[in-house]
Amino acid sequence: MTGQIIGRLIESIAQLCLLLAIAPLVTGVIRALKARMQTRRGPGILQPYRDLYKLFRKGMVIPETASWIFVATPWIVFFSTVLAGLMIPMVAAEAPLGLFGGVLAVIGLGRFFLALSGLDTGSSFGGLGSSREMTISALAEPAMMLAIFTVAIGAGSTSLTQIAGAAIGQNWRFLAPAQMFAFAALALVLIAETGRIPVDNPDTHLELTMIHEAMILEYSGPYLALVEWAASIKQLVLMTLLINCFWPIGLQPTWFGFGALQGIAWLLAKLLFLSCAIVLIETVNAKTRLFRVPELLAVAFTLGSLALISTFLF
Amino acid sequence: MPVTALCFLLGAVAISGLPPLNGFVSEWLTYQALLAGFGTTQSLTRLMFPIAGSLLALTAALAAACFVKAFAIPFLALPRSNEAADAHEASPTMQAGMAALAVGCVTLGLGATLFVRVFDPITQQALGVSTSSALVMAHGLALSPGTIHGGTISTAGMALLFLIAGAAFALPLARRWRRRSVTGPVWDCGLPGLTADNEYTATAFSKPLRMIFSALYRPRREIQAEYEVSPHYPSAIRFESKIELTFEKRLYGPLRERIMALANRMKGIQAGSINVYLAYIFITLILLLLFVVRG
Repeated sequence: MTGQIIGRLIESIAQLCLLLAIAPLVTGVIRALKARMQTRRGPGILQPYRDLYKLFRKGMVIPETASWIFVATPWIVFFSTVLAGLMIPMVAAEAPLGLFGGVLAVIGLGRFFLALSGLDTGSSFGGLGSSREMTISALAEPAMMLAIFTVAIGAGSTSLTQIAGAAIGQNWRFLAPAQMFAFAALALVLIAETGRIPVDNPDTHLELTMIHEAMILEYSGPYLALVEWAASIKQLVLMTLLINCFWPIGLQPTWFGFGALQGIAWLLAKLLFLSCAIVLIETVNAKTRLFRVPELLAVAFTLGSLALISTFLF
Repeated sequence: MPVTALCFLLGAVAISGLPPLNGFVSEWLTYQALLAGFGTTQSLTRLMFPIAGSLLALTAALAAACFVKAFAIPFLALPRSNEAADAHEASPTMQAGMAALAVGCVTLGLGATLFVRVFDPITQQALGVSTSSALVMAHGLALSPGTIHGGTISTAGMALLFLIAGAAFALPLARRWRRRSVTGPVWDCGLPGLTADNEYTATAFSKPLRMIFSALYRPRREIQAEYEVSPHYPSAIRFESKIELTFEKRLYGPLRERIMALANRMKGIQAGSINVYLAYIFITLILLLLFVVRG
């Protein structure tokens, strides 16, 4: 029993380090690849680390209208995102804190407080961002739930450890129609949830288009660093969720032994592949109008329904 | 109003189905029941389970949007009216009422594994088995749907991790960073000073949802501007925005009218005279007798 707990603890710490270390890297790689695709030189892939380092050393300005919510939110967002990251299978099929469950609800807690802090400052931009963020997440939710339901039916469980375990198993086919549709639906939801083009543009500070950036407009210094770091961890968590539930190749049975290095290498390779896909989507699409986003999410919902119906047909 | 705000915030988090409070536990158990229900039948009716699941997800997300608004607009930022500026805490007994409910949200959430036993008599009566022992796992730390491979949640574990992380990192770092922080004005697009008029309102907050679901709400708005010299310098603007209460108008309204009409017609037989009522009883008795004899 004690040995098991210590084992879990070591796994958790290993995954925590991996999570914190490579989240900014993924953001940096996506930015660098995007710059290349647009024939810009762009910053190096290590730029997000430099940004974080610089922000953590700076002083900060707290708005005079803000309450304790404003100060507590960066911590709640950061901790809840990291906690969600420990509940997903990254390198080993067994998630370190898989027992805790409810990844998406934990991410939802972070979003709830971020939206509150957007309204807390009294700035109209914050309210605008919060309003849009909550609207889009409400519309993304049904599509996500249908896709997850389909995957859970295939694996016979909502536990991510079990889903990834079933995905490693023999009779799992990625090319099964239900899996393909569910994958497409979740990929669309991922784009909406991580605030990427065509839903939100992470590079802009233009009033009319921003969502996530508008909510965090009043943050500065270390708290901004925390929120930005949490945003990149959230992106990593959702990407890992997608790739490990659908392409479980290279997922190790446990964190211990040489296999872990192999598992990390596979994870990075899969993340790079997914990043390339995201960059491609971001480059060839323009940001849609806010009121066209529901149509995009309706497509995701339809794909989720198709996934569900194809579990009957095939 | 710090006490009221904290109680309201706990309630808002709970009703939005967010961990680690009671709403999350209930929502999660409902999802597990829906997933398990899917496996119980082979007919097409089982499509109802995922559809119900996605509608539940939509409801929870809309509730979160609603309660961000309901908490933030009255409690956060600058007061939006003179009445709000003068707001003060209610009397201690009234605060105690709210606090009791908030404590209930927290206890039922964190101690979910202790309270599932309450359902045992119900399941015992309906199904002949008690389920709580199958639902509680890992020495009461986690809740599971009762199947071997099912997912698990541990609200107490989450709360514990939050507390440890908060005490170990957040408090010391926040204290250190506070020395480097200054208080400053909010960005107001370069205008002199942020006032309550600049703030987002509840109506503005829910505008995207009203637009998206406009087929349901049929929003209508009217703007009248009065001006003397040029339309660019209005002297007074009147703005009116309304939504249609679709369900009230299309479902409950007609239903209520039917019932009232039927009741009106029934009123005819209620003469108020005891002789008539005795006659009714007599007729009923004869009819029942005939029924028994025939049967």
